Amino acid sequence: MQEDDLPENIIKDVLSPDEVKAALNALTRVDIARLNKAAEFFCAVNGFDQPNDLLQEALTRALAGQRKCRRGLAFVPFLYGSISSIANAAAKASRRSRIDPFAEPEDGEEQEDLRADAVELVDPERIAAARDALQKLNALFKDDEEILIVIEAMASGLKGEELRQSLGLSKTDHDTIRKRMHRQSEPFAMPWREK
Amino acid sequence: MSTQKRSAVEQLDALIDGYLDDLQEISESELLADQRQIEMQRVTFDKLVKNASLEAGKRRLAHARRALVAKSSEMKPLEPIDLPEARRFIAEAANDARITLAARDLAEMPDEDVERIYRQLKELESARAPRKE
Repeated sequence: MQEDDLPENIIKDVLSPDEVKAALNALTRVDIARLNKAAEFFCAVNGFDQPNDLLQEALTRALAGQRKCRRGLAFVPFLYGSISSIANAAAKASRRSRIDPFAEPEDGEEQEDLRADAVELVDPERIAAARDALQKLNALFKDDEEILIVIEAMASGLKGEELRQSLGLSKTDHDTIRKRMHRQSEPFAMPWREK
Repeated sequence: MSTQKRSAVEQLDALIDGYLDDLQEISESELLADQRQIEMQRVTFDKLVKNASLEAGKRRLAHARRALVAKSSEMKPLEPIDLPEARRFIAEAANDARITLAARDLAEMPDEDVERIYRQLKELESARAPRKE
């Protein structure tokens, strides 16, 4: 679907800068902890060593209106999407050039994300970056076979209860493996925590 | 489980999707277990928001400046046109099989329509010019 096909009110029904500020002020400690974990994860996947840079860029784009949050969309998942998009673009850019992986998008570029679900463009750089990311994750968890099996299942599209059933895991088993995953990702965030 | 071989991009997307879902499932007690870390995260996050607000202000200003420059270049005054000449030109164009014009009495056509159609035809003409060689 082309953007022109979308009703104008869908594109325009987004949070204003003041509403974004209010949403940021309303974030709880739990939300912030989740956002930090997401930033740590994307650092591990994309080879960043500064999760706070990733988070700050996502916050900046939201506040500047470069990435727009559709009204009604939960704000934390919106920020996950932004972090993911920035990390993905930077991973691709770092394969092309070391000049500026955080290069500011051209006007309107982030608008494309409003219809990201509708359009899937896979370019060679994205494929190469994805291969890199999967290799990094395999290397990161190479000493923990259980995590690797869970990751493989997730990569095949399984999650939640379906994943547990497929691997014969109880919720407790899954939680234990997940905690180890998070713990082993944490070293990637150390430069930030030490600030 | 799907047996179809997924591309690296599909695998990574699915993995990220699953990871973010997992993140929402983590209990509050688990997330808030380390109080010292949680307090540090809050302080750091507040700093990030402050820095982001400053940077966002700069970007919005830069965007507004670019928009202003673009608008001023769009608003360059158009060359005045000779309306009788424009009507004659449109009448000729209406006889050109390559151009479709709504059948209207040119004499009754408002000046602004004449001006608009004339400019469009001139643009078409200049776009076609190289092919005439």
